Amino acid sequence: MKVLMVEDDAMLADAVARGLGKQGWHVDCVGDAAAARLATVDHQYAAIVLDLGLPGSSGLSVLSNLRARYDITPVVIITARDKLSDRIRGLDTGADDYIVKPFQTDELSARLRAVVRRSQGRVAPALKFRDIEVDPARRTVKKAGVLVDLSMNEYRTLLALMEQPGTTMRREQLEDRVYGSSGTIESNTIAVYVHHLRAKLGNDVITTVHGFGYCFGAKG
Amino acid sequence: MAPDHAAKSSSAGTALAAEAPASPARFRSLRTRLLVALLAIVVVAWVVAAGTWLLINIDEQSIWDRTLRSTAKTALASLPPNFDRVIADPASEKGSAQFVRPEGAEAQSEIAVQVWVNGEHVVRTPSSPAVPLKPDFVNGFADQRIDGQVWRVYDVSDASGKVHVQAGKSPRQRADDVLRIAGAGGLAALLLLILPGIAIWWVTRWSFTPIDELRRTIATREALDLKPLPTGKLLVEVQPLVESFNALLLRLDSAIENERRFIADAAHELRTPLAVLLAQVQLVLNADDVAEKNAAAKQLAAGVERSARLSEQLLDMARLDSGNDVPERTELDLSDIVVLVARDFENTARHRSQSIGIHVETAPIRANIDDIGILLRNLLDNALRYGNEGGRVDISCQLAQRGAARVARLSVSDDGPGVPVDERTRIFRRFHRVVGVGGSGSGIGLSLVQRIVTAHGGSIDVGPGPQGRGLEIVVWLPSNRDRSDAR
Repeated sequence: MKVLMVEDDAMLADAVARGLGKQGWHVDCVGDAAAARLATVDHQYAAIVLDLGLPGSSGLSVLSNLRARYDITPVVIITARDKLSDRIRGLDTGADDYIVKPFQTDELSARLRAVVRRSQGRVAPALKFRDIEVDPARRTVKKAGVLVDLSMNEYRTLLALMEQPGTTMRREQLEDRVYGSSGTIESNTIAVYVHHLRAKLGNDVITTVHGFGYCFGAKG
Repeated sequence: MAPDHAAKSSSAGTALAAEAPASPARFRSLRTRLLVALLAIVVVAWVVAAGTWLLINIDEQSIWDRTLRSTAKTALASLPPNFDRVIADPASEKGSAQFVRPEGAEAQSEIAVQVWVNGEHVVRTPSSPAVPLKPDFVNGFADQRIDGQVWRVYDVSDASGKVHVQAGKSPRQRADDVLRIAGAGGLAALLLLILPGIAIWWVTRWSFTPIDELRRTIATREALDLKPLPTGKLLVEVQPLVESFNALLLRLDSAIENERRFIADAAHELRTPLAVLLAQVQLVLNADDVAEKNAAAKQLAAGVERSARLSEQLLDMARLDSGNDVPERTELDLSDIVVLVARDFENTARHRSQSIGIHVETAPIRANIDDIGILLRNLLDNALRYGNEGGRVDISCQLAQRGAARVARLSVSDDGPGVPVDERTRIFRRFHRVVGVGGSGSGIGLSLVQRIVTAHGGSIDVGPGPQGRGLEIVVWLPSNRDRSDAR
């Protein structure tokens, strides 16, 4: 599968490209935002690895440019560990996942596989349920035509549930879709997000299937 | 004056005046300002004085007139009552009588006085002409042309109208008067103008000597000589300036001291891991077979991760040390950050077969997101590092009530050996490592936690973990929202 790597440090780009190559990825490397925009024109990549710390025009602009063109190619951003704010901004702009520098190539490969898998069958057109509209390209949610402010994880939970309405999803499935949990972390977060979503979108949108998971819309 | 020129000209002035922003370029120097202002005041005072004097002198005609009238009247009054008859005595020398000029009197300043009886000339002063000053013998003032010169004359007669006294002043005498008065007055004026000028210049100069001295003291300093300036014999006005300057020097000094300490710490802390890395690389290179090479490379990777973690902590420390007292703060939900940061430790936890338990509730706080990231990262890093292999680390956050305040309660606990009670305050000191405990902590992490919590107005509690073992660190951060205000 073809991956575009946007990274200005040639040494890092080369090492990562070779590492990913060993794992079966075909990697193209570009060093700046302009080249990245050019390379993404024909949607030929299964995923994009994007360093947010690009010189000049920031990596974030590549991402927003991509999403503005309704290009939903999955993007994994590379961020510095101490720049939590950058990471959040990247995810808000439409990144599918992130990896923190310094990282192991195995880890990046796993993240790439996950985002590609999740992106399969995903569509750019808006999702609609009653008066709730979700625009995956713009990452916006409207209820009765009014924008609803959702946190990143709330949005991801909603999207995961909404893509398969009427199907009950297990908590672990949702965790995987929301933040790619590997099973090491055990948390109550999905319950919290569902609680928030109900408060913002209406109590009856998400049904709890006790001891099993959650279901969007009517139980199927 | 062009602004750039103004800037250049002011740089030549005193160092202290150079920063005064809005005043015109010429008056950037306090000394010049004072000097010009004081001199202007003196000049204005003198202009006013001279003006008043001139106004009086415009009225001069009336002064002379009064002098003439009083002279004439005095002369008339001093004549004997039967003067006309006395004069009629043939024995007297008619027309030739003269007032005897007193010793030392000057002719120029004299008023010419003539006494006429029945149109005949009886007595006159030496300076008066032979012809009548007022030929019409009508009482009162007149301007009379005599020998081509215009005299100011006055005529007064006795009750009978027979005796006339006439007084007059020639233009030359009048001019002399003016010159004499102006001469004396002008000299005095000049002296009075110059002397205060010199005095003002000297006083100004003298007043500014301390400032000049101060400027020289600062100018001759070494680049990093941040000792406070002496404040002993300073002027009252300059003292606050120097004191605030000293306060700034003090802050600068502590900032530079922090920097020096950081560089020293960083160099010291990085030396060992780098030596370890080099040794591990040697092991990889010298390995005899692939299996040995792989094992050595794995160790090397662990060594690199440790060094990366250390340099991150040092960078975090530098960030907090940099003196950015009030970093940008935003409204954020602590639970979101907890989830985001905890995920970074999945790999770390997996390597040691540990699990992470997250239990979060919405906890809105106002904080710097990157600082909170550092805080959570260091708490989790610490808990996973000292927790048991195959054990569990729990992190939770929720809103709580503490006294009258709503606070966010963040708790991170591990199942490791814990920290003895008497050590618990010391673990927050920089580079402190708990004695007799394994692990490869740098001793930086918890000191960063402490500083961030303090900066955000929170507090820290340390105790044993929930099951009475391990360590639980509870951080209380002020929350800005009520629980009922659901997000």
